[in-house]
Amino acid sequence: MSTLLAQNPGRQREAKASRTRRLPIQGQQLALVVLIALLAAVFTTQSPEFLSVASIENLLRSASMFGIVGLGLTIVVISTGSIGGIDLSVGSMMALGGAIGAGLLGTAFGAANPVQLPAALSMLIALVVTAALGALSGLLISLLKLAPFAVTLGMMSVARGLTYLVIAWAIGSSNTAGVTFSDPLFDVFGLGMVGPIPTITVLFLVLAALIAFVLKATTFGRSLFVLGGNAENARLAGINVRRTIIIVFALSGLLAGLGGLILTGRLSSASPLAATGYELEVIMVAVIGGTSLAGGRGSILGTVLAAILVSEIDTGLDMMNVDSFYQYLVKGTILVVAVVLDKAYQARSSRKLVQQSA
Amino acid sequence: MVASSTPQPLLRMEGITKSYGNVQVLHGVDLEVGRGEVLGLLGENGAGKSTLLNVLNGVIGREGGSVLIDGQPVEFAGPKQAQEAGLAFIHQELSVLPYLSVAENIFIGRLPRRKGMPWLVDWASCYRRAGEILERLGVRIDPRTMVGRLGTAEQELVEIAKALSMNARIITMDEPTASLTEAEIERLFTLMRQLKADGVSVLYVSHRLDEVGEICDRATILRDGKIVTTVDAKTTGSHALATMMVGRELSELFPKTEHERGPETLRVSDLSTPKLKNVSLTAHRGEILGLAGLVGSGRTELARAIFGADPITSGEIFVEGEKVTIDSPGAAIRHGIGLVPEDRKHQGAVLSMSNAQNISLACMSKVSRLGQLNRGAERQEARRLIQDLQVYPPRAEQETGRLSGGNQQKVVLAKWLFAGSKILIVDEPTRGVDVGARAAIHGLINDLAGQGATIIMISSDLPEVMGMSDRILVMHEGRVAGELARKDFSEEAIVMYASGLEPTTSGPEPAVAGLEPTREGSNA
Repeated sequence: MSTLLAQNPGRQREAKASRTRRLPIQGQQLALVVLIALLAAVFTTQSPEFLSVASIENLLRSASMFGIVGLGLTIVVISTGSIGGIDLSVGSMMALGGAIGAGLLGTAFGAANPVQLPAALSMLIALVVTAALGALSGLLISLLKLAPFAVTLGMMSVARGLTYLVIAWAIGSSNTAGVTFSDPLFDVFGLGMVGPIPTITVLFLVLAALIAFVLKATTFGRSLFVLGGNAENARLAGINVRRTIIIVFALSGLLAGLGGLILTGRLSSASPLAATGYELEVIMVAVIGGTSLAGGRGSILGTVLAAILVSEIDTGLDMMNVDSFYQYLVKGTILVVAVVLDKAYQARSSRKLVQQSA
Repeated sequence: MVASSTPQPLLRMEGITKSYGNVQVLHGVDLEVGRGEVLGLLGENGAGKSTLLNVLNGVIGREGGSVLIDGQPVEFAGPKQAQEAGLAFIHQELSVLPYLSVAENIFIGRLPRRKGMPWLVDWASCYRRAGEILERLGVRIDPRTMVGRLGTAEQELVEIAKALSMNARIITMDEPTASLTEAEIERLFTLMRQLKADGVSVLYVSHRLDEVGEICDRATILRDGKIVTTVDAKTTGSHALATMMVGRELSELFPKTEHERGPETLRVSDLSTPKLKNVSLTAHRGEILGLAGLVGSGRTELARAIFGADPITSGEIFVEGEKVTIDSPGAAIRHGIGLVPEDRKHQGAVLSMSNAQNISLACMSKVSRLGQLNRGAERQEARRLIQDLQVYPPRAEQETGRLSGGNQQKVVLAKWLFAGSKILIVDEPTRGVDVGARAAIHGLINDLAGQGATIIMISSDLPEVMGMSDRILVMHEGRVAGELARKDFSEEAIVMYASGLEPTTSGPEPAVAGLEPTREGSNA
């Protein structure tokens, strides 16, 4: 039997394939690092201010905010990509989280302020609500087998509507300009520093490390990759698919809520129109970071780097006084390039599989 | 209309050869269909029927041989050319578009256009012409009906109407009656007789041998990619046909080891699902229970139902004498049941993950504490199993998708060894696996039974299932049609049961409980 096996003709090919296999993903992250450095050089030559402390701090705060929400989306796409998993509601969830967090404080200027809660409690409630709404999306997707695109598109609208309601209730008028306030705990998001690094960047990196650990080293994380590769496969391996999908969308809601609190803290204001269109920014972060929309593949390091890249483009082009329309153009182009690279990688690996099985 | 009564056959295939990779599937097949003849094409699963039909209809190319229509050699670059030459292929899985009307389905891709405005569809003419064709078939269906609202039989009639609308002269029907009821089959047969009268020829593939005598003029039997013989379908009985289909000695050697049959480990009683009807079975410690039957007879459905992959509508499952509730694969795994599924690439192994990750997949708790994986222990356990099972290349970190089919299958088996399954259901464990790995997998299954596992083995390969099993259940249309003890194994008996007949030529098996005559109507 061993001689038969030793004659396996595919063996050289297999060995070769395994050696080259991991390169593209690492290559993608390497490409991000190079791109970040390259853009930094370009921006600095165009506008030396780019390398100032204030500018870098601003860049990091922005990257941390999008990055934290992007972590949730990365998990959603890794684990449910095989069933078209996406969370379009993250932008509205950010707005809702911010509105609840600011609205319950009762310190808004010139407003009704029906309740006055400590900042920590109002933030907690904001996170619970956004996580619960995320879980509801997950429940609808897993229980009724609805398309994640449709469910989260609905949730995007629902959360936006709730944001209006919360703010109207907080300021006691349907003239929903927004809640402007001042709160020391919220100020930490916009001003707090740990040494030379913004507090929220530390928070972002800790969360990223934690999630990377969960994905790589826990049974739950493993089951997310299995589920994202093929839902039937996961089910036959005894994984509770329904529960996993609910948890994943709840996490996405929770992290979006946190991102919303950060946004609100940085602006000292919660607006019903806050974070409009941010879902696209966040999806971009996940995809540019190398997370495959087909599911089963993705990296937290990639998401972190992509969050930095996207914020770098925003900040740099802002400083060069480039019209924001061009920013859309640049980011869109990079997104499409990232997807093309991903497609090429997939085509290559499936071609290898075919050769292998032939 | 016997063998040589047609002077010039409408269709003639000569010396057709075809191979996939190193495996030759067709070894010089000759076949003739006369004008207005219904020719039955019979053979076991894997005999090469589908390949032959695909070659004929231009779906795949052939390597050697020629196809002649009306004595003229033809070459098809694709299915479209075959259609233009008057061939139509009605697949077992119907290819109708459910959300389009009957008329649209009939004329799809060549809807009649308005005169002078060729960018507009001439709906009036479309419905009128569809109506004419349906009328010619004696079918009363409104051409405006959405096809999805029709029954399976009517959908099939729409396919036939489509074939006729293209002036098809040779219609291939691959198991057209597989999902039809008795009355629907009669209707189809009436239609086929009418087609015959109109001079249309039919190449008819069916596993229901009783039907072959009823509708076919002649029957050609294919075995292992070669034509065995062509016989008069009217005078040759089902039993004789079955014998000719099987017709080979148990030539391949299987390392059957005898082991003691222990106490009952699994009992399934009156299990029903939409595809299964009151299936009961028992399996024992150290036993290999074979599950034979045709593709679609409910074997895979039974495996999935026991494993909790598909919901059951009624019935009970007992593991080691205790009634258990299996409502998910997770529950089955907890009760020590494992499933090596038929579709290895999509259900068995996660191809993008490493061997170690695949092996620990069904029982990650074994190498984790409080949800945290001990990846060192995981790799170590995986290496041990990879060595035991001789997976090549023997690397725990190797991506499973890069392995050959046989080695992937070993990884799937290793997964259940790791999970410590006591009852292992293997569905076509050696399909698409080369000879060497095949023997290794057979050896492994034997070893597992020898160590006290209960194995339920589904296989369409009769020598395999007979060589490996201690006992065989034969399924037919969602039921257990017969049970054979090892001493009574014969390919004829299995084929008979699988075709819904009772084996009468070989010694009748008195211990067949629960054998119900199926489809009595057409057994006449």
